[in-house]
Amino acid sequence: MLRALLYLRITSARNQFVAFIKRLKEPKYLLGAAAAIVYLYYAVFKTVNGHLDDIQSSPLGRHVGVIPVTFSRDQFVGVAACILFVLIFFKTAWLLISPPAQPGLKFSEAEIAFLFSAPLTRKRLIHFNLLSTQFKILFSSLLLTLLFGNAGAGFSANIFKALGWWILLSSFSLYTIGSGLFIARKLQRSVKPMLYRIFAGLLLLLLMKHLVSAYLKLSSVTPTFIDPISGALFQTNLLLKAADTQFILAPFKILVAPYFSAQWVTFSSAFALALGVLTVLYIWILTQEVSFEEGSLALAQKRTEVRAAIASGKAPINASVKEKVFKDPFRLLGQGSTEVAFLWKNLISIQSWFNLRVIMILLGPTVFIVLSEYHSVGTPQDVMRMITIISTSLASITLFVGPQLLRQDLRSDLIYMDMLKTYPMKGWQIVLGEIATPVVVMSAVLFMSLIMFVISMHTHWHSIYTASSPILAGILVIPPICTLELLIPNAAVLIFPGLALSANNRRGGIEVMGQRLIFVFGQMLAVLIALLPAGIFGFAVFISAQWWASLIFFDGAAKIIGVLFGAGSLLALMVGEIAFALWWLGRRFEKFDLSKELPQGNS
Amino acid sequence: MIEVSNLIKQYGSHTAVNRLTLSVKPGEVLGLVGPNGAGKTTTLRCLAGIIPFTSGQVTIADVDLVTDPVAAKRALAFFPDEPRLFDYLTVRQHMTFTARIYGVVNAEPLIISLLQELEILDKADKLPGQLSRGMKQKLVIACGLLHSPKVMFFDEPLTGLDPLGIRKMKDSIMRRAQAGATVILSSHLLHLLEEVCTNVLILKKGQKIADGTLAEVSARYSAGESNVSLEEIFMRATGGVED
Ligand SMILES: Nc1ncnc2c1ncn2[C@@H]1O[C@H](COP(=O)(O)OP(=O)(O)OP(=O)(O)O)[C@@H](O)[C@H]1O
Ligand SMILES: [Mg+2]
Repeated sequence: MLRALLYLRITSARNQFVAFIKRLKEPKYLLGAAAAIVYLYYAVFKTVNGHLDDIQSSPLGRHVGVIPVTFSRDQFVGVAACILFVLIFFKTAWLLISPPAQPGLKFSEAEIAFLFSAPLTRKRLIHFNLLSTQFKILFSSLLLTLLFGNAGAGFSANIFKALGWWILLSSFSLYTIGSGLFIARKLQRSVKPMLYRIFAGLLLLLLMKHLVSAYLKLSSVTPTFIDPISGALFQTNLLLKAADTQFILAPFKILVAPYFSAQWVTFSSAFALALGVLTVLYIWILTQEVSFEEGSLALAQKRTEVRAAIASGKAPINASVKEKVFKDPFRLLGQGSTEVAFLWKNLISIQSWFNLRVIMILLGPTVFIVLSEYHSVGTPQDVMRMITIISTSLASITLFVGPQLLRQDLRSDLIYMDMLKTYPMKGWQIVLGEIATPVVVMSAVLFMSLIMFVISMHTHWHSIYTASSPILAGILVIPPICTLELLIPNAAVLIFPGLALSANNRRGGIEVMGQRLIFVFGQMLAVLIALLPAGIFGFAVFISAQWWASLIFFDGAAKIIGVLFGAGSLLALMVGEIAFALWWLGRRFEKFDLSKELPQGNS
Repeated sequence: MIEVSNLIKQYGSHTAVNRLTLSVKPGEVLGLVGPNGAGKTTTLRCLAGIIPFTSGQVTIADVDLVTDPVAAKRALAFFPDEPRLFDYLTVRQHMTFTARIYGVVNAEPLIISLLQELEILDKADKLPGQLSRGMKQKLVIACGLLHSPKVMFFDEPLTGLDPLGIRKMKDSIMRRAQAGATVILSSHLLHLLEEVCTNVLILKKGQKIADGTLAEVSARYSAGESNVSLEEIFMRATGGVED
């Protein structure tokens, strides 16, 4: 039976590949593929002649800036273990916040339709699922190695990197599956699931608080570094040496060790150890599964439900998952500009994962930790410093991955293209309406973090004028920057709908990290190209306007005037770019032939 | 009113609709029939502006679909065979959204009365995932009727409806045609088409092989007999008979 599943997996993969190659016949896809290859080539081979070695010369190293050579491999292992820990931590927290409705693995709708009604044991289904993720993980490991690897480091070093990525991605994915099953099963069996969730959440919170306070206590003994990265590295390593954290982080260190190995000897032992951890995770999943199947009738019932759903032509996934109704974000009148209707609609759908409850749950612990640290560590500067860190990281996460997370635009509506096409609207109106929601959400988050930042840095502003100028600039430039950022993935949808659709289908997690990262980098590059000239111009205007104004007004007012003119001209340029992009994308939308671009679902 | 002349739609090298010419006046209901793959869905999707056609001319309510698509689309409604709904919008929210898209004046009472007419008012605050297929279809119809379209295209409108639903659907289509709407519908349920349609058009491999009023078409294929059913005509027209 596993054979049949393997056959299904392999034939699908092969057909996907064939479809991809066929698409290359179209010039734009060929061009896109060529660009991707050039990009990868650049990322890989550009470093061959590099003089810095290993991490420093990889693309990531260049982004981060020069890392002092004094940091050893061990220390990188430590930092990476911390990062992995934080990722796992948040994954677990997220599972508690929004636990999966059914204990389970993710299957596509077709897989559910075909496999769930087939006489297969749950164990087989798990193996099938693990097999599917392995395909993606292998591909992603390869891509990540290409992206972050270094051809100059030699063949074996890159093998270590690739296998290291494979370990990292596999462990994360196995953990996600295992903990998903575990939590869902616990919640199903417990009488008071809410209580259970709150209790588990509190435990996580205490753990986090403990780590943060340990970290903060270290800051008093840390020498001041010029660049924050070195400071963070140093502190993290001190933290790792503390006895209790060493205990918590041990498994994570094992998992990241292969990635940082330099010789075959160290690599093989590290790899063997890491494989051990993977095996433990695998057994954890299997044992849970088996007992789950023996212990409950729920599964069989679910299957009959699924079968009934299929028989009545209903999509089984919809039937089980989507049942929470979200309120209107505002009152939508029958008349007015039609773009607003899209904002309204997408604000409803985005609540499926981004709602007030989630924000409270995410912010609550942060506020709690900050406040409690305020009492234990003491100085107000520490609190302010933490707010600075939180606000800058919030802003950078939003700027860099926000457009990938907030997908309630053409990317999620691509499947409704035939409906959109019948609406009596111009193409640009639809594009504008569709991107409005992520733009609004992103701008709001960015603006909030800007205000937090300004407040936390209050000692640095000498007057109300200097303090208000960044806010003023923010009001003017944040929305157009977000618009530009979001226009790019939406343009990609209209230009490469086939790829975008398959990217939507694999709404996998960590498995598709390689592809996601390529998207993020590509997007950043495009935004940079759009933003750089306008930014330089805006800055020049700011400097000169401030200078002129300082001849007439006092300094503070001159600054505000400078900001107004500088940000204003930046705004004007960006609005021009946005208008052009909208016009062009609108035309593409109107000419969009979905019978050619998209595989037709039915008839 | 719908005017189509020499409509051609090619998928790559495959011609799905070949030089189709037709004209439907207000009050008329044209039934599009033909075997699977004849090009019915393709024709309807071209006429509704969903997919661009290769060549030909289409006029919807006196507006050219190519030169002024927005005005043409404001006058039409397309009802797909497979109901497609937004996952996170309730029935009522679907209606509110559609009302804004078409700029419907004083939409609220209209929404209530339409939902009532289609008997899904009690599901107004449910998500599509909680509706049966027939109910989803009713919601799509309610959305489409909200802006009182002058021209309506139905692709297989009767599949998935219960007998009562079919009855009501037919009445509803006929009533709207009598009120001056222009309708094209495709269906495989021939005996039902006989009741609803004023005209029929038989397609085969993208080509029109017969059209006219029911009486005209049956006269053509009846070879003297009287009272030939549309089913019989369909068999003769799409089967061995070459044209
Ligand atoms: N997106 C597409 N790309 C290529 N060919 C297509 C596409 N959609 C339809 N076709 C082809 O066009 C022809 C007409 O298809 P169409 O869906 O219009 O038929 P139909 O009359 O609606 O059939 P049915 O009764 O099964 O609904 C078929 O041969 C089909 O294979
Ligand atoms: Mg069809």
